[in-house]
Amino acid sequence: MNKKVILLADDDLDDTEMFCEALEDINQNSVCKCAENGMEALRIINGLDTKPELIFLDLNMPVMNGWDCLKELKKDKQYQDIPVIMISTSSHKKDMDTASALGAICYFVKPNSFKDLKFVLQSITSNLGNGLKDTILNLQVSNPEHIFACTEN
Amino acid sequence: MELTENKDLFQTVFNSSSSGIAVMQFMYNDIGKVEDFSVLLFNTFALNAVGNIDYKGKRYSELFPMVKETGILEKFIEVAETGITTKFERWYEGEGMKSWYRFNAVKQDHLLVITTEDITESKQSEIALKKSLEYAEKQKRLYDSITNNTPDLVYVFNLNYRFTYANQALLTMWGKSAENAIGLGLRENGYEEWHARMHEQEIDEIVASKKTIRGTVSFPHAELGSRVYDYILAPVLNENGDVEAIAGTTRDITESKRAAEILESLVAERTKELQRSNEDLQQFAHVASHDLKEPVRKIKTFTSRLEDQLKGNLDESAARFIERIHVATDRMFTMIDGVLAYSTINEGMQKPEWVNLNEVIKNIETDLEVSLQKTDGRIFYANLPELEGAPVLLYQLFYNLINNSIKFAKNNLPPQITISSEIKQNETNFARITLTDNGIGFNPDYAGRIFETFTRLNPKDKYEGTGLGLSLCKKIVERHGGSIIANGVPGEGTTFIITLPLQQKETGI
Repeated sequence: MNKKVILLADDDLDDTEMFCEALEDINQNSVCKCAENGMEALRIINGLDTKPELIFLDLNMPVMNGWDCLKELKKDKQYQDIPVIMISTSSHKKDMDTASALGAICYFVKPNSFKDLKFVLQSITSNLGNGLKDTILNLQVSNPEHIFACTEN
Repeated sequence: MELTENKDLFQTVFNSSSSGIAVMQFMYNDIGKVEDFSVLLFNTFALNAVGNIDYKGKRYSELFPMVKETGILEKFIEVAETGITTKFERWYEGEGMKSWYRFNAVKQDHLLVITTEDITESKQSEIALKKSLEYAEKQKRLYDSITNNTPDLVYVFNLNYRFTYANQALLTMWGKSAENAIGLGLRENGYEEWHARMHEQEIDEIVASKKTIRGTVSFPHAELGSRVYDYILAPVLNENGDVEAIAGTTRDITESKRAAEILESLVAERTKELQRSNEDLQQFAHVASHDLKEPVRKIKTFTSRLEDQLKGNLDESAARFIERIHVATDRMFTMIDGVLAYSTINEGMQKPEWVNLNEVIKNIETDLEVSLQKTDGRIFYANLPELEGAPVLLYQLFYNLINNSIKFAKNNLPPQITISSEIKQNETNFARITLTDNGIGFNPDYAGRIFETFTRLNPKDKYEGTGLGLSLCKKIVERHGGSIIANGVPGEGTTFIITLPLQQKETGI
């Protein structure tokens, strides 16, 4: 029951499958919850006993996209403090700025290889807490094309 | 004694006349008809005309032989027979005389008194005048057919603002005939007060300045309704250089003005359409590239997972197959990015800034550090100019060229790229930047095609690339109002010559 909950909202089933697989491979301590869109993500969070430790939101989802979901999360006192990472298949400065403005901690471009995904998830999940920001900054240095740390406003 | 009886007085009058006077006696032929005259008396003038010879009793036709031919004698004989005083004019040439004469022949009993006046001068004037009049008439007919067959209005004002001439087109416009219009002023011919006053003021101005005035005015035509006219009023100068009349022409420019307005609005509409479709294209390109990359990414991801899963169980050829899949998917990624970059090159106007090209190259050096180190490549540049341009685009331009030079280096020969420049002064100031490398070069026959999209001069797999880099360079250079050409020698490197204006137009790049 002490398993960390990591929530992923992504409408791409291949990606969610791969994500959960990667998580399970690296860390037996964490449990991956998946939602198909922002609306479902909120529903899932509300139904959990424990708050998720980390939330990954894909940008383009039907019903409720990543931005709107992020806004909702930040409005809610209960979930404001959960670190959120936005994910997408491409990087546009505009999107990165929006991510920073809305309070996400980082913007993540989906990696091309399973190994890279595992590496990144490993670093992140082992450093949930105060060290998360630094971990992300370090990841950005080694992976400048996929990891973008969000600047605080 | 009565004046008329004073013989001396008569003598004086007779001899002081500036016409020749002859008194002659009839001479009869065999059948009793007058056939000639014998001269009894000449006055001084007539005497001088015959050369002061002894004329008394001589035949008139003998003294003036040409009188028979010219019909003069015949006329005299007629007077002698009918008694009717006759005046006539004849040209007489002979005996040193060459003149026009007016003869006045009067019968008195059996005598004929002939008064001969030399009217050469006035006759000649008369003839000249007639000729001028004929010529003037001819000219008038000529000008009338010109002015009456043009749709333009042609007219003349006198200094009292009255029309002294109006061509057919103008008369038609007024709906008047010449009799009802010529000699009248502007208001009488239907011009509104403001219009008449305007032209009268212009006429005053022309009289004062002796300069032509050109203007545009709108007013109604009797048949066609409201029209727009372009008019020219010009001074007509007399021999003293003073204005004696104002000549004008007016052209109906309603149609051409309308056409110009329609054209302008068409252009504005098309530009808007173009802008809109450009924006649509940008959006499409963004969405398309995003959506196109998605499955490509998946291919790559699952291929590498397959690789991992089958590690150890893959024979050499299977491993090679998987490697080929990776290469192809990588190229697909690059191409999608390239297409996106190429299509967004037209995106939005860039505001021109002052760009120091030395700094641009320095940044590119930093960004390409890895590949420069790997190939032991070097970029040589110095004193490149500062010019107005879009920093992002100029960066992309030189990045593509330098990246190409590194990419197309000769095997085992570290790429060396030299960038130099010179300033050319023409109408606009230009910078001519030359970029040379020591790479594989290319066949100069392809110098034109090298900038076409997706053109590759090397097999797809030998040198990676989208085939879009150079077409992007060309687009960027053209957006700046410049040009780019390439020269190459196979095996001996490539040179690009880029011409860029030093300054940009305010509207943007």
